[in-house]
Amino acid sequence: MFRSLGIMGLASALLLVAACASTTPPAATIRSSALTAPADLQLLCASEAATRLSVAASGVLPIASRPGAAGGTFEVDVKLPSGQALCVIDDKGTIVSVAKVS
Amino acid sequence: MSGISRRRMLELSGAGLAAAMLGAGEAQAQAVYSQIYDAKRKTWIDYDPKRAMQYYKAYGSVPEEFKRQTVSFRTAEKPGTIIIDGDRHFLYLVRPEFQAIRYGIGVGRDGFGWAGIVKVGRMVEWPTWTPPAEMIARDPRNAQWANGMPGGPENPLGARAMYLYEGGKDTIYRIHGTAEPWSIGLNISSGCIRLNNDDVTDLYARVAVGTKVIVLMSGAALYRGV
Repeated sequence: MFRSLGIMGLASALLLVAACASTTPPAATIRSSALTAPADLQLLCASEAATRLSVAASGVLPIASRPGAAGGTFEVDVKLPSGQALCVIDDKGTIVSVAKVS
Repeated sequence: MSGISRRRMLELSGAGLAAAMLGAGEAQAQAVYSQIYDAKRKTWIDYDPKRAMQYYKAYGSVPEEFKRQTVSFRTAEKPGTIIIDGDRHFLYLVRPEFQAIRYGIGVGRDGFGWAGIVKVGRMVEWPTWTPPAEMIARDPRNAQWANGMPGGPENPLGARAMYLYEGGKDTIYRIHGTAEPWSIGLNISSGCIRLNNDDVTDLYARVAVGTKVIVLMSGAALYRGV
């Protein structure tokens, strides 16, 4: 009798574990289909482009981004009031370069 | 209109068309969407509405990444500014000391995404939803609400709405709640930014009319020619 009670207890415990496991969402499950620069880095680029190119900060906006050629960097396309700039920033938030491209 | 293909222009209507007309995206079109890791197959798969619904049904919530959380955020923007990363499906509310509250969002589907700098012009609790004519044309079931659907749990705008204005005019875009909480993380709307009702209620309590809103989205039409 004690043995069957033990088996029943073990089975109940296993069921509980299984139930918990089936409802626990896996961690770190989401990514974007394309790697873009984090929003804060994009905006740092826009702000720096406005400063270096002497345009109003209210008139600039990041419009696209992608990983840079050098590891740990991103390239950010910045729309200016007139034309566009390319900003390169590293993942620590340091501006590598800013250049007007059109 | 450079940068927007004829096909895309034909797909645009309502909010999307308004965006394109006002800003003519010069960026290359690049639809970015969410993917989820399939541990069984050991591969990344598209996080589409069907999978999003399955996930929500299985776990009773959206994936952890889309839940409200405080994160580091290096920015010169003032605390209280809202920054939307449409590619990664995050809305940031800038806080002091280089921090932000991050919320998961749903954004405009292909052809309906946009980017720009706008402001919160009006705020409403349990808003009435009135589908624009273009939305009724796309789905005649919406005709019953042509004069407005009262606020409530079934209302597509959810518990709160922040109406986005530019130059003192309504853009017709909103940050709002949703009756479809599983849809966070998807490109699914007609250009509005949706949060689940708990999150939009939290955000609503932290912002005011006049709040600056910066919307980033790769390759999207610019709402204004910034």
